[in-house]
Amino acid sequence: MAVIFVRTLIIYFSLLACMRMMGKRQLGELELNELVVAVLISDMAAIPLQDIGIPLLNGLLPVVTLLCCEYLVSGVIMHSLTLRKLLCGKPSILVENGVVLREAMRKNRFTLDELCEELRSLNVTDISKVQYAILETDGKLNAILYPAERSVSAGQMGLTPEITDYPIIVINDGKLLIQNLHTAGRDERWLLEEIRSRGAQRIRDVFFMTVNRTGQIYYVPMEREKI
Amino acid sequence: MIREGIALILLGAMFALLLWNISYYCEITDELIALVDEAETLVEKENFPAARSRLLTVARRWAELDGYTHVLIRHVEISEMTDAIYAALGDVVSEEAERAEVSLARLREELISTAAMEKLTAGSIF
Repeated sequence: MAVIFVRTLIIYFSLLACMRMMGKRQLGELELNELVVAVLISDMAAIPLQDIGIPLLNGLLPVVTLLCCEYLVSGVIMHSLTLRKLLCGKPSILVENGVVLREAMRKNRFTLDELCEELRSLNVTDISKVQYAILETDGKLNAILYPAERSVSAGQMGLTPEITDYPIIVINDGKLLIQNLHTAGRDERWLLEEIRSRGAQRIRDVFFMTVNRTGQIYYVPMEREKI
Repeated sequence: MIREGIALILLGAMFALLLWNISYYCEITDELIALVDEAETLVEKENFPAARSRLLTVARRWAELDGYTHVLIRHVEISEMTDAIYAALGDVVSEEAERAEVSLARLREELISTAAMEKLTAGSIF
């Protein structure tokens, strides 16, 4: 059993090191340590599930070990800048002022085709309009366009749009979410009045209802069962 | 920081428990190996009833550990060990000295290898 514990530690840190060396392209929306745990944990838990001749502890022990390692590594990353840089790397600028940086592309093993593909997914077809394209530590590419190419904001146009508040779900599939109702600053009496004014008799006659703090309501009645 | 502290303590506690488990399991296997060695000496002297009594003790002790072994040892190894114990017992009961010596040697090897698999050595890890 101790052998499994030590093996888990060795495999975890080896994978961490190998995937770090593979570069950001392998990650895809997960941080390096999260990806390593995601890759390992499901397989490790599945082994005693598939073979009842293996004690359950053989599957649970590596899972708990990985959980502890993940807490430790994410804690270390949070507190130490040097280790964060070492484990997660740092964002790389691939395009600067419309110019593709070949050295950065080569370092990150990013081809021009892949760069164009990523930019197209961000609705950018012309690299010369990109002021900065940054490959983030989780493998995602972000593009910042030149100010002249960016969408105009309401503020730039001198408009003052109406402030809308976040809608809070108060009825979900005929069930009242009382805590959300109170968060929205309303009570049950108000809710019953509102739904009755919309033709429902009881909360369970409402499929979905949201309200924001300014009092805007989104209401969907429950569909009647077909006879 | 609390979560990281708990994780570190948990890792340390698990490792300590596993080390304790190794020493406990080695203690058990050493005890059983000693009994098998005694049985082997008795078989050489053709004192089969005494050798049989030693092996019955081994079988009883192994059966008593059933709860522990099923939680911590792979079931294939448990079955192999049980088979080896009863094979040796059968040969001793039938008073066939040569066969008994071979099966006792096999039983000792099983005990040594199962303990070795639990120990933290470069061989068992890699």
